[in-house]
Formats: sequence, structure tokens, C-alpha cells
Amino acid sequence: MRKLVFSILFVMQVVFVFAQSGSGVTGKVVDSKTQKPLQNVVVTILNSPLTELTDASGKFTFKELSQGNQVLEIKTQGYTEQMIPVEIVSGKILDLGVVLFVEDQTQEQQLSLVTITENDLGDDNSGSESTSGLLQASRDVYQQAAAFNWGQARFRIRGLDNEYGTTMINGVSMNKIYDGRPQWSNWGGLNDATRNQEFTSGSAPSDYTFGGILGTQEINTRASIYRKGSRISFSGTNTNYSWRTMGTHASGMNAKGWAFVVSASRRWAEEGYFEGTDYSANSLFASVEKKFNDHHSLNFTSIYAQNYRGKNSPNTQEVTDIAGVKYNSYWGWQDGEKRNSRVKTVEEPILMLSHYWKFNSKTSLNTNLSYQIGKIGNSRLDFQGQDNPDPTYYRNLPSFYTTQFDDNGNYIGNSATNVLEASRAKFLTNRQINWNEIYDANRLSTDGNSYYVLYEDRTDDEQFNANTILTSQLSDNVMMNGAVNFRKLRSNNFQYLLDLLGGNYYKDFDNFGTGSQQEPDLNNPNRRVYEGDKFGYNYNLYATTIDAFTQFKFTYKKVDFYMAQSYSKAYYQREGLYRNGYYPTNSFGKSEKISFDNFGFKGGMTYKISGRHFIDLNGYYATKAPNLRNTFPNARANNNVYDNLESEVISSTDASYIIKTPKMKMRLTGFYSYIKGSTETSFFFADAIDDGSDDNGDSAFVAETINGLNKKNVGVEFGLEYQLSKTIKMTLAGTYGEFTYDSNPTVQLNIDDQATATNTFPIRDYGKANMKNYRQPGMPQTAASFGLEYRAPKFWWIGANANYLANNYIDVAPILRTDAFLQDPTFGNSGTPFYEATQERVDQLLEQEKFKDFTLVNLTGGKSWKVGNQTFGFFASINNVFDITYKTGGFEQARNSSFRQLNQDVSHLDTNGAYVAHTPSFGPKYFYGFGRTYFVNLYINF
Amino acid sequence: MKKISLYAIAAMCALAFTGCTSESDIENKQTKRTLFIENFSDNTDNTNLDTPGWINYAQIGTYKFTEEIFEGNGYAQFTSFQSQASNRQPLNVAWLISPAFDMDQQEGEKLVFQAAHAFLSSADNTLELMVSTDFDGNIANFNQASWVNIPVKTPTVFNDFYEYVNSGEVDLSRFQGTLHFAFKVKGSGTNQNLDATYQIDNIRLYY
Repeated sequence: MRKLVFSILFVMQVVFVFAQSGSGVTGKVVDSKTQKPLQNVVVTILNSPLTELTDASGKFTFKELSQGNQVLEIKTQGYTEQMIPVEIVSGKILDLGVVLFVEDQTQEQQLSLVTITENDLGDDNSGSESTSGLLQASRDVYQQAAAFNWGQARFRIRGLDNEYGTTMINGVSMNKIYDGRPQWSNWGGLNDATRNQEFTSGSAPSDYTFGGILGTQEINTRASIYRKGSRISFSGTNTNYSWRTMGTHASGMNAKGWAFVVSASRRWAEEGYFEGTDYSANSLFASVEKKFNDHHSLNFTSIYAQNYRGKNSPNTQEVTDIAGVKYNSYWGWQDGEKRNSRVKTVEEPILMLSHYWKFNSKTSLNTNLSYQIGKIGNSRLDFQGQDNPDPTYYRNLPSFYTTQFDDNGNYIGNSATNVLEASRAKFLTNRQINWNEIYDANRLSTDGNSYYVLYEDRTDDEQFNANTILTSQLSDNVMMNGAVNFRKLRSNNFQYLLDLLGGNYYKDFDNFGTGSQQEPDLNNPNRRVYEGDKFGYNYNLYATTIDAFTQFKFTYKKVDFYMAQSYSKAYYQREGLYRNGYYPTNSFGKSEKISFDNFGFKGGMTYKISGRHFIDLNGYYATKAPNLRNTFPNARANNNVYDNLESEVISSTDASYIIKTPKMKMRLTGFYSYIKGSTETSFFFADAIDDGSDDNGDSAFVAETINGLNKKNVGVEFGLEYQLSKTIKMTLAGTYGEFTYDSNPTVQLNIDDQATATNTFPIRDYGKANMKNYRQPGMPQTAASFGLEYRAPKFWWIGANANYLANNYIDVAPILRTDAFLQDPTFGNSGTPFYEATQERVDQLLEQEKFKDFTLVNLTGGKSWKVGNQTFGFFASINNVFDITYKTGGFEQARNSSFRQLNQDVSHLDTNGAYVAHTPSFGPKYFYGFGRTYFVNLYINF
Repeated sequence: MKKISLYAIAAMCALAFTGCTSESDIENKQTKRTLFIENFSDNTDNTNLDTPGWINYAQIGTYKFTEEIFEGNGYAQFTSFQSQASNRQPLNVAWLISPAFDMDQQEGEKLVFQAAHAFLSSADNTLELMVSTDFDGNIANFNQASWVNIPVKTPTVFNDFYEYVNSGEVDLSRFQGTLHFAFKVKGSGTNQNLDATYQIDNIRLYY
């Protein structure tokens, strides 16, 4: 709690020289509803270092205040903070009497929020994940709008990916070493149990970590800090899931020094918002603390969250036009039930032992050991020598026929035959996966083997963490933080056979390549695999990271400032467990050990113009090791590492003007961040990527690596909260950002079937891609929100907000921006252009799609009743009241990798020689936001 | 206090709407421009080549380039081989001369084409790329023009029959004025080692 106090103080404290006058103020804080006194509420005299915690009877007293006008700030977790102006009279202790504290409805909103954060789009925890999860604990007006109002549109604070933020549980980083992002599902559904959070924004100092440039989130699970009581809630919604139940009990500290918290929840849906998205999640939480004496406490936390989620497909415009926005190509009927082929399962329990050591009132040391083991699986269909079972496979769609050209480049998509074929394209009548057909094909196979199987890409991680965090108030003006973290990860990655789908076994071989290349494991050739077997690829990734930071915070009358520095070291290694047929010499066994050294510095200051006006400045410079995922570009097949792999260089600065008065809070911030030298590896199934061989119409798994990508994020943020009357509050928030690429990175494709004994690193170098000044994708870069909230004295409230979101762009394919795009492959590797290409047309085809802007209106409301010792509560929200259909993201398909292919895919010439657009066969795929959704929550506190 | 917040809002709006760039600064890769393209797509199979703009000239002997079509694809062909022994000529030198190009209108001109052979057995049975900047387009004045040979990749005996070989980019940027390029084939109908067939297609001039 002291740490919390200090971090709050940091922003707004001034050391006054106080007259020894015995002037002061006293009061008693009680819950407005239950009338129970509230303990450990933080009461601060704004603009001073003076802070008191309320005692067991809810009382606080300041005795030595200087006379004049002061502002009291009263806040605690879970309640709306209050600011009370007081006039201190010399020699008198002003008695405020009872201060009623109102429960903060934000915690209710958090419940509906989690439905967004768990809905990551990609196979791999990536996609256009919003930053909402990180912001849950923020009380900043702007950040609350970003989390609660814009999160559904995949808004990201300052355009930054979650890997630039740090999410911690008890100071232990939950960001995965693999991709740098937290796996929210690891504690999903445990809203009550993870409610004690501290948030720092941008590069502002955290007491626990050096952090990134997005912000830090620290979830504290120490049992004694939970407010004593029980809570049971039941919710209904139509988002990812339909129903949720949750129960939590916190014991509070008993006389013997024991405290415990338990929580459990279940969320489920037969079908979520999108078709065929079933959902099931069970979560358990327990935390127990033993306080030995005033100096030592031990806490043990265990979190077990199981999550099963049927995913939904991104779709082309053509598919959406035919089948609707909620259409999902991943499922099919089987025995009267919708079976989803792409399911993500997460099950990674966390065990954590924490030691709290309070040396004295000024210095404390918190040491944590944590162990996490578990698995993440993403299922999909695999097939050999058969038609692609994807109902949206391009040959099943009308556009396959209507985009046809003859060998001389003449459009024949409007020929009688093609028009007829298009009108009876398979997708028009068969929109879902045909499980029965798949089972029949497998049953009738000549050798008894399955042609189709359902498998999982599995990641089985085992991670050990140890950290120790020191906090010390060195003097009245100086506070020090320091921490050392150690992490060791073993990650086993493999293909796991889930279901033979009616066949007897599956042949473990690669469809592409020839001869021994087809063997995924030369050590074990011609293998038959069965359900529960690993196959395809199998390797371990090892990572060891050590990082340390120190931080000093100084507080003076007119100015506060801080500086922090960090050092980290990372070791990565891959160990192949299979000897891959393409790479007999460099796939089996251990790779070289890759190591990175990284440093960081940051600093900032708050200048206090007056007690109510502040200027806040922050600066940050650090290098960041590539994450594990980007280090081994073709980890499924070999141990290769690019020579030019380097750490990112991250710099960031922001400046804010802040006003805090009892009636109004305002913040205006300008920010600039620059990330230099990103490496991005993406894996995708590409239909016949141009590898120099003829188009065989099959799809191949391709690893694309982009090196030297710079990102520039500039913008302004604004947030205003104004209390129009005692009951009506207005909020206004807005941001304008320009998040662009600022370099032309190199593009390299790994092409397995060109591997030979002498070429063990077969890459095709596409040279530079002209990405500079394209917009970073997948988030609205402009957003504005206006909200009103009415809070009746009788414990009910309603709110409404309108949100405008704009400037969201598509994810452009770098490969289309390379020289290869403009070279006619007829003439080999020469610079011969396509004769029909004009620069005007090139620029038209490559123009980055900007999604339509849209306005979302949300309504929220709630009421609570006190019945005896229990509180009953009700919270409801309706998001996107007007059921607006909007795209949250999308990506260009790289299938059309040349000017001619792309040009012919999207258009043909009319008789006047002008381009006429037609429905493309490989158009971009889009993700959509939820339409109108509701969330209703009923709870009892007792 | 209200005033300050209004100012702040005004400042925010001003920043949002005027402070940043609106024009796109994207510079995509620049495509090269095609000056000339010849695919022989209007061929009539097995006739003397009369593709518009081209001069089909038998310098020695009487045989000229012919128009051919295979599986719908037209191309230019020359061979000294004649099935009737009586028609065979001891030496053939045939030229297929391009239209004129004004090389002063642009910079960095490059030429590519594709050529294939059949029955090639001797390096003396040549296909050459020739260039002139003083040919006036009148075949009567052919001998007054000076023609230079430009080294270029053509099919060899090691290539499969009818397999198109890329010429590679031929840099013509050093030539000024009016330029003609020409394909010159030398063969013999009476020497079995020199009566191969040459096929030429997909000619592009670009810059």
C-alpha cells in the first residue's frame, strides 16, 4: 500500500514548509451504500507530500497544515475518487464529518471489457489486438475512453502494440518471451481477483519495472490487500460468450495473520457473436497470505485458467456480400452440431510465491518466485492430395470464374461459360466445412490413411521466474526503486494430431518437395501417425533473460523528476527434435546460442505551475531484443538465424498539460515515438507464392521476414472530465495520430523446396519494399468520444457516450511494394516491366485502403440495493446501439504478387480501354467489429 | 477555469485538423515504361513475315523470316533448311529490321527478347543482334548504313529445341539519334550443320 501511495504522490506532490500551527482537517470515509467505514483509503493534500491512510474506523486526520485553501484528494481501489476543497483556518481542525464514498462503476465496465481483450484475431496471439486490457486500472479520462469506448474498435493507445507495454502479476512480467505480448487468457474471467491494479501510462515510472513506451500494468494478488467480503455475479451477453458466473471470497487478515482469497468463474457460449464460435472458459484463483510479523509476510498465489474458443474467419468482401458479416468459414455441421475447425485452447496455470519484507517504514523488498507450465493450441485442418476443405477456397467462389483471362491477356470472365459457372459456384450452396464429406473421403481411402486430419499447432511452455523488487524512501525528497528479474523458458512447439476424422492413420509427409525432402523427420522416415502423436515439426525454444533496473524519483516544491536505467541480457536457442527433410544438416539438434545485450534510459519531470496546473514531460530511449518468434525465421524447419538480426531502438517523448480541480480534470498530451529496426516474421499459407517454379495451384507454408522496418508514431491526446452538477458528469476525449512506417525494409522469403545440401538457407531476397509513409494498420488513428453520466443520489446511474473512430488502414503486403511486383517474370530476373503498366495504375493498385469511419453509441446503467448486510447490484450496457457494421482490420493477400496478376484480379478493360473493376478472387480479408451487443451483470456483495 | 479548458479544446482541435500532413507522401516503386512491344500476335502461319513496321530483308540468298503460329502464339522464324534439296541455298543471311526509334526522347533504353532454336549444331549458324543509328529506313540504302553487333545471349546447342532463351537486358542507352535494331541470321541450306531454325518472340524496348 505504501508503494501505491508513493506512486500516487509522485505526480502531484510538493514539499511545503508548514507552520506548526495545529491547523488541520479530519473526516471519516464510509461506503455510501453499506455505510461501513472504509479502511486504508488514501487521503492526500494535493500539492504536498502529506498522505494519510484511514484507520479501521475510516478516520483520517491531518494536524499540521498551513492555513489557506487546500484540496483533499481521497481515493482507493474500486471507488470513485473525490477531491474536496477545504479552507484551513489557523489553529483549528476542520471536521468534514462523514465522507461518502461511491463504488466506481468502472469495475463493472471491466467485466464487459474482457470480452474484447480475449478476442485476439490471429492464430498467434497477434492481429490487431487492442490495448484495452492494459488500461483497465487507469482512471485517466482519456485512457478510460480508450479502454471502454474505443476498445471494441481495436483502438490502441498511441498506435502501439501490447509488446511495448508490460503486464505484471506481483512484479513478474506476463509478457511472453515468444512474442512479447501478454496472454490475457491466462487469468481471463478472474476480474474480481485481478482487480488490484496499478497502471502507469507511456514511459512514466513504475515501481516494478523499467517498462516500455506504452505503459505498465501491475496486478497485485497479495491476499491481505483485498477488501474483505464475498461477491457472486451472473452475467449474460452476446459477445464472445453468452453466460458468465463468478464467485469470489476474500477473508481479510485474521488475528493469526492469515488472509486468503478464492475466486472461480465460468464463461460459456454455444455460439458467440459470430457464427460457429463456441466458447468455454473455467478459471480458478487462490491466494493465501501469512503475516509472520511486521517485517515478513509470505503469499502464495495460484491461477488456473482454461480457455477454449472457436475462432472466426476474416473474410473477403465477396464472401461477406454473399454470406453476411457474421459469416465464419471455420465451422461445419456434424451430427446436428456446429463444429469449429479452428479452436484456440489455452491452459497455462501460474504458481507464485511472494515474500514481502519490510525492513522499516522506508524500505521494503518484495521477492517472487513463479512457475508457469501449460499449453496453447490452435487447431486447423490438414490434408494430403485432396481438395482444400475451406469453403471459401478461391476455386469455390464466383470470382474465380469472373476474373479469368486468356493467355493473351484478354478478359474472358464475362464469357457465357464463366458467367454460368460463376452462378453455380460451389460456395453459393456450400458455405460451411463439409465434415461428412471429409469423413467419407477418409473412410474410402485406398490405404486406410486419412486424407484429412484435424491437428493443433501446439506450444507447450514451461517457465520459471524469479524477481526481487526494492523500494526505498532514501530521504524526504528521494525515492529509489530497483529490481532484478530472471526468466527461463523452455518452449516445445509441435504439430499435434487431434482427430483422424474417420481414417486409421495419417502419413507424416510434406506435400511439397520431392524425395527425402518430404520427410518431416529423417530420423524417423515413412512414419504413420495416430491421434495424440506429434508430427510435422517438433522443436524446443530455450530462452533465458536477465534484466535489472534502478530508478530515482525526486520530489520538490515546484518540480518532481525521475530517472531510470535498465540493462538486460537475453539468450535464445533452438533445438530441433526432428531432422527435417529439406534441411538434413541444420534442423536437428541445437542451434547456436543467440544473445542480445540491451540498455535503456528514461527520465521525466513534472513542473507544478500551481496547485492545479501541471506540465509533465517524459523521455525514453532503449534498445529491445527481437523476440523469440522473430529470431528464428523458419523455426518449424531449421536452426537458421538471419545475420543482420538486430535489436530495435526505441525512443519516445511526450509532453502534457494537466489541470486538476475539484470540478474538472483535463489532460492534453503530445507524443512522439520512433521504433527503429523492427524485424517482423510472418508465417502464412500462400497459394503458389512465386518461387520461380510453375504455379501448381497448391498452397505452401511460407515464412516471410521483414528487416529494418521503422515506425513513427506522432499524435495528440486530450481528455476532459467536467462535473456539470452534483449528479451529471461530462466527459470528452479525443486523439489524432499519424502512425506510419518510416523506412523501406528488406523482404526475404524462405522457400523450403529450394534447399539443397549446399544451400541450407534458401531465401529469395526481394530487396527493399517501399513501405515508407504507409500507415500502420489495424487501429483507428483518430478517435473522439463525448459522454454524459447521470448519477442519482439513490444509487442508480445511467450514462451514454458517442464515439467517432476514423483513419483505420489495411495491413499492406510488403512483397507487393518490392521491385519484383513490377517485373514481368516472362523475361527471367530482368527489370523488364509489364508493358501495360503505367505509374498511375501502379499507384492506384497499391493505394492503401482506408476503412470507413464510423460512430458508435454506447449506453450504460446500473443500480444497487442494500438489503440487510447484502448489496444487490445490476449493471447493463448496450454497445453499438445503432448496430453499425464496421471493419476493425484487414490485410492484403500476397497471392497476387505481380502487377499483372493484381491488375487482372481486380479489373479488366472495357471497349474504350478504361479499367472496369470486378470482384477480385484474392481480395483483402477483413475483420469486423461486433454489431449491437449487450452485457448484463447481476451481483451480490455480502 | 472554464476559459482554460475551452482554450485547450480549441488547441486540440487546431492540432488535429491543421497540424499534420494530409497529402500522402508514399513513393511506390517506379515502373519502367515500355516504348515498343512485338509479340507477332497478328501472324499468318507459314507466310513471309510482313509485320507492320518491320523490314524483312534477305541480304544473301532469297529466304526471309516467316510468320509462324504454334498453339496460338505467333513468332518470327528463320531457317535455311528446305525439304527439297533443289531449293537449298549455300549461304543465307537474313535480316529482320525493327522500326525506327528516336533515342533522344528518353534515357536508359533497354531491349529484351526471347529466342529459341531447333536443330542447332554449330556456333557458326549465328543469330546476332545488330544496331544502326544511320540507317534511314529505306532498304535500298541498307549498304550505306553502318551496323554494329551487340553481344547478347542467344540459344546454344545446349538449349533444348524450341526452348525460349531470355536475351537478358541489352543496354541501348549509349545510342543517340534514330536507332534501328535488327536480328541477323546466318545459315546454309546445303550444310547440315548450318541449317538450324531460329525463332524470335516477345521483343520489348523500354526505359
